[in-house]
Amino acid sequence: MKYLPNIANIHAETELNLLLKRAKRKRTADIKEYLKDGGYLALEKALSMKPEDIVEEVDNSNLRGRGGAGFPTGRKWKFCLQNEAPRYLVCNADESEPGTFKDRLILERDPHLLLEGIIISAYALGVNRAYIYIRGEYPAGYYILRNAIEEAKKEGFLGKNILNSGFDLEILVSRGAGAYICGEETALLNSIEGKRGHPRLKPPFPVQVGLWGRPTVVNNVETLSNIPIIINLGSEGYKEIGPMDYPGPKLFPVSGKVKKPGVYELPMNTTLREVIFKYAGGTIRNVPIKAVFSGALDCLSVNELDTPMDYSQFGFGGTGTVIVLTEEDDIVEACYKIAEFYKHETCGFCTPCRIGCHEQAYLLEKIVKDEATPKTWEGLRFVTKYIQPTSVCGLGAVASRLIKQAMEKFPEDFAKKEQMSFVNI
Amino acid sequence: MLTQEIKEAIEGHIKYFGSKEEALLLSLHSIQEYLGHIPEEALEELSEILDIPLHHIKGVVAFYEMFDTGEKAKHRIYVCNSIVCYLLKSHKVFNAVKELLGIEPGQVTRDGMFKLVEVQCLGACSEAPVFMVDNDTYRYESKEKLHEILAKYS
Repeated sequence: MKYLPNIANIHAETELNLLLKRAKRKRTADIKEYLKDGGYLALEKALSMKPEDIVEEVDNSNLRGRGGAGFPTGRKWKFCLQNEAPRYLVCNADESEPGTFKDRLILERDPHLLLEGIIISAYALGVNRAYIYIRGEYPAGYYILRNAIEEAKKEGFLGKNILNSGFDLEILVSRGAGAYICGEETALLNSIEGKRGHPRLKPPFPVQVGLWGRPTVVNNVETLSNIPIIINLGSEGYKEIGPMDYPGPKLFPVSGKVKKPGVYELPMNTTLREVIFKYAGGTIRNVPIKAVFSGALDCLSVNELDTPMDYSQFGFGGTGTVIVLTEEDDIVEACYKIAEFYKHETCGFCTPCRIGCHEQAYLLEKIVKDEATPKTWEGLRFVTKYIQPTSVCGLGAVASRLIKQAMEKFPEDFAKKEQMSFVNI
Repeated sequence: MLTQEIKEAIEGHIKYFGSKEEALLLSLHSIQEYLGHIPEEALEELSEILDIPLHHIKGVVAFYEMFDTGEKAKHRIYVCNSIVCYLLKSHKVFNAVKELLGIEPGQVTRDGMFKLVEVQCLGACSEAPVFMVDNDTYRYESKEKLHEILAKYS
């Protein structure tokens, strides 16, 4: 490698010392450091097991996807295994939701944890060619992964006949170029194939028809990094971490108006209030909290701070992203920024999302600039209602979600703005 | 248009993936890295090397926002204007760049050294407001500090 770009100076803390054991330090752990910590022992153990037993262990561990949707990992694997080889494994390292920067820590600081997870998963799934698709904005992660893969090859953890088990695997790193939609699994597959990152219609799902038409498992960076932990502890041991229903370590990226923004590794029986006050140090200058955005997806009011950080119906699972807004921030303006994000990131493939996201941002801009008329408000209510049910993929399905929730939970803030619109008739 | 160095990089990508299609995105990254942008003539040559129709490549280039077919610039300054950076005053970064270099988002300095690009989340939100220069991520602290950082890229 000719050079390594600087890695981000993100603050990290851990209660569990599993996912962030090495990544809590602000530097990259090389293979020597990883081996010293007992690295690749899980791989040795896994290679002595039958692939189907590993799948059972993962299924039994109740591990759920850490990329947003929270689909049970073991179940996804089993679906894929119903389809004939050759199969592919793809690691989704395209995290690009606003406020989400947790996978970055593993990619930049502990690449071998991820690689070990991928190698074990590939062995379980009968995969000989795996991919990591990393977003274009993470160049350091790209070079670090390429470098780590070379290190792993030299030690015999990758390549032909891994640790004399007869299992072969190569891991290839593919780079995105600034498209949020490529985090959607089918768009991601198109992007690896050198196409525009448009989503594909589902079904068929990637586990049936994925990369180059073959059955493909797409798992997030944090999800795959849990695999060595499950193998090391056994699924029963793993289930002892955190609450019974939602076991395992979870990374929570916390940003916005808090004293100690950063990534926190905690069990999922933590509440949102604890994350903000106990770990992230509370708000800047102790200004009261106005709202919490979970990325660009959900808007929570100050009455919902006891929400558990798990995958339950109203839980904070998925990416676990926490963006804190205080009384100093304007909720309508913040919604406009979210609308701008979706306007920028809609891929243009389906009409409701393409037109809707632009319209939504345009209308909110008028409202923020006090140029709105009652028609503007009527338009906003119409657009936010119809993007979701008429769009092709998940992006359109959530493009209005946060804004609608904010309108419900902060009616006074919006009413104040709407009052102004009558002046502009 | 494509120098020997770039052609070798592209051949390297094809060999790495064993697939010309899969090598497309990395090849475009390499072209932009070496040339400072992606000119149309380069795409014609790339189309021949990769055996992929020119219209397909153009469609791909237009889709991904990091690929820049506009004016050439030696370095790109990406400033995040997404929700977290916005809350933590990303406008200061835009103002500082404008004061130091006299450019607005989308513009290139007269000497062709820097282009300012407004982007959505760069994924380092705890460091907000965040900007990147080429491959390096930084937190914005002050105009003086920004000046120091930019001086490293000449």
